[in-house]
Amino acid sequence: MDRARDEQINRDLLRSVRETGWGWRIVVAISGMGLMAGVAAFAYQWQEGIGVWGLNRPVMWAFDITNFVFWIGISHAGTLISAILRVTGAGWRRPVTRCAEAITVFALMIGALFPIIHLGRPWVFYWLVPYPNERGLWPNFRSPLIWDFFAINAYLMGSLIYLYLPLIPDLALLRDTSRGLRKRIYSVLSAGWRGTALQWDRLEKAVRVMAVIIIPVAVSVHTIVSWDFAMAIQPMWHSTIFGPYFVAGAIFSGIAALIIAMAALRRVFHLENYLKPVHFNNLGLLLLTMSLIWFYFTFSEYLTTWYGNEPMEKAVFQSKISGPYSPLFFAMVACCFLIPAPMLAIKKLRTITGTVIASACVVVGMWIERFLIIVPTLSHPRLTFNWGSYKPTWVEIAIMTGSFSYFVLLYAVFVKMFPIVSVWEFKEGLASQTQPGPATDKKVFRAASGD
Amino acid sequence: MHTKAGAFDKVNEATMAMNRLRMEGFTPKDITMMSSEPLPLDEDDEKSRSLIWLFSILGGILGGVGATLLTTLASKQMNLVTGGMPIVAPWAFGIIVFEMSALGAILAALGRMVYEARLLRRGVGAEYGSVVAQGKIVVAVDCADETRAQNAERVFASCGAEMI
Amino acid sequence: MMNETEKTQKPQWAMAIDLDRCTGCEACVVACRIENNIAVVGPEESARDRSMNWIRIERYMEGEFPDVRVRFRPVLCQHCQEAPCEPVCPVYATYHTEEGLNAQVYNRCVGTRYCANNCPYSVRFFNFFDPQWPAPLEKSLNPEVSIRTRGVMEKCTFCIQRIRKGEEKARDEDRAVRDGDVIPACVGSCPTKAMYFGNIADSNSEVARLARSNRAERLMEDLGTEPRVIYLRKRDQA
Repeated sequence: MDRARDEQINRDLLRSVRETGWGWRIVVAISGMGLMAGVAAFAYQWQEGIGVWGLNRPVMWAFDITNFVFWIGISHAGTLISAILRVTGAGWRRPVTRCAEAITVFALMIGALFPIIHLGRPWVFYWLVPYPNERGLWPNFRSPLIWDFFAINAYLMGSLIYLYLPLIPDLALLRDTSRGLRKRIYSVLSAGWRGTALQWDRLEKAVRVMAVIIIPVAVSVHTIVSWDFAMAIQPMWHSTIFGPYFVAGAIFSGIAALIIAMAALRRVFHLENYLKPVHFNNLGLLLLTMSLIWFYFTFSEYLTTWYGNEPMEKAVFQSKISGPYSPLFFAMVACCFLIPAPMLAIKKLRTITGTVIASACVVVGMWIERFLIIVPTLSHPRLTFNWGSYKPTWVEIAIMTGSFSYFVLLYAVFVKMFPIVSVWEFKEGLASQTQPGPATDKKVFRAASGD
Repeated sequence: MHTKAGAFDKVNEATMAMNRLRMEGFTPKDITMMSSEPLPLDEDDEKSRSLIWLFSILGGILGGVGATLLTTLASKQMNLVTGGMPIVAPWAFGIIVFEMSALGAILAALGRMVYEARLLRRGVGAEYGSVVAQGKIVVAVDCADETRAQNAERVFASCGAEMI
Repeated sequence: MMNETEKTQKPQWAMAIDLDRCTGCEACVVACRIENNIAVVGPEESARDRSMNWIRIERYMEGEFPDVRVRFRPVLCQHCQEAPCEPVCPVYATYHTEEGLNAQVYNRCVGTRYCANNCPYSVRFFNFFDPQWPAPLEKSLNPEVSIRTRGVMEKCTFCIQRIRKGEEKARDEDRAVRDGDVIPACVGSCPTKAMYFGNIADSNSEVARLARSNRAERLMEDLGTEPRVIYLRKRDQA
């Protein structure tokens, strides 16, 4: 092991924890204010009733559920992508995984807030929790919302553990290199990690088991979110394609969020030697793949609706293609496919700036996609007498702003407390690179020890 | 009984020291190697048998059975017809069973990992943390008596260790 | 699922509406509002599509000017036997009673609004705000019907309070329920007698007889929701 290089790595990767710059302070202040605005708007809604939103009959869901699906979608950035990269042994994953896993945990926490925020009576949200209670009632396990409850809980628990496990050695490193209160906090968090060979072995085994389990869970989560719609018999909701369509869209928007977060971290914490153009290139290629898959799913979904020509479905279809929602529809197609796909396909444009621009388009486009799945269907119920429309109010926009601010705030605090690039995994990656041949970690050790 | 420990700069020095310590009659149980980067266990070492995967399967089964019981019994207790569906609806409950199985598997794997890796316990090594953090490899040996302690010190010195 | 022709202990409530007799006068709408303490949302909220009418007269225009015809169809909760709104509720706030009614338990409702989104008939109404009755309407509140708070869903109950009264009366007289025991507010107020209510499991009842008519149809039968509201087509369409 190269001592000087190790120390350099420790310095670089722990800098975000050790030093507090003005950039960080400003980000925290602005996002904190955004969060306060969202909380204030929610307090107002709590006090007055959900009528302060733009909802009506027949549009009973709109921004609330759009944001729910959007955040749960973003959460597929991390655990799923990092688990797939881990299981397939992609070496370039090392500086990326933690950054992605943290996105998952925070996006899930925020996404899971929306089903509570959107309730008519949010103070009784715990009635959805299955536990023996004095009311003598159990929830209805046939409801997709209860499936959501179980799926999001399982995914959140799994993601937290999956984020935490590879963090333990780094927490021990922080514990051993800091003093005072910080040392005490990291002592508790590092759970007595000493870095013995036994601990390394068990950690690796546990992470491998988790990675395998978390992949089907992640797929199931967004499938179940899609089933909130697909289980309903409303036109353009009752579609068997929704499960995979949503999962693909979730991974799509998740990768986009990851690229944006990585670029920001790279800039703010000077991680140029760790988050390299190759990472943006590889993630950009993944994003391109997902863009193509997204277009394929969208095309199949709309083509079958158009060709089937069933009047109720056609009404919703027309409202999106040529009706009041058509500007949003074409903005979505542009943001999710027409702009990012060529940008990512051309090697010269697949730079850091290029992938970030493409990702920003994708995030916006995927938010619009969720809105267009929810609102046009609801505003065109089967009995045409009841057709309606929807316009958001400032309260909904403030709550949405609050959710974005909350995400940035949580992320900033996380970066302040923990190294955002896994220190030990990065060093491990360097060690395996310096050895000749396709070496697994075990072989590296054998070679080094002359075994 | 006291513990002797040496810090090494290189992996092969540390392994050499461990091999010599074993030749001196120390058992694998006496020797603990600590590092800031993953170093694998010897496969013939008895410590290397892990039951994490088995526990995760058992946890999955437990979660699945628990979810089956919860959904079935609770629905039967409520006994309310909705949408003409059967009271016990396997299609719908299967989804919850799946999620609970996965959660059970994850929690059991975590629990077993914490147990096997001896986390959340007071043990050897707390005093070596700062050395490990510098990127050195620490080999600690439990010595039953003074002679053994001297043997250990000799081995460490011969392998180029820095005593701590 | 409750079978209509099956011999059950409990009456199976159903409604028949003769579209040939409906003039679209909306007397039923007013009667329902008074009987069931439906909140008055006011003109601004109404313009935002938040008015509440457990029963409404849908108007559909046919033909080109000047040869225009207006068709009326009173639409209320269809009390589907396989109701799409029921299974999606996470807290059993809506479920199916043994009398074939689609029940709504206000106190259990948390306000996910999923039921309204999954209702193909758009007959579920949400309390976006606390209910209000501008003076002097608050004096007309019916003591037999509970007031709904904000954040809960509500809809037509087939005047459950009148059904209970009718059933009690029949039990007191030690007989089965018969036509005339239960008259929901809308049925009682219809000046042209376009609406009928009764036990469809009793093959001699008026509703059962009308259900067998060759004019009988149910709204969106193809969805398999099996509604308990039977519409009698206009004769010019029959």
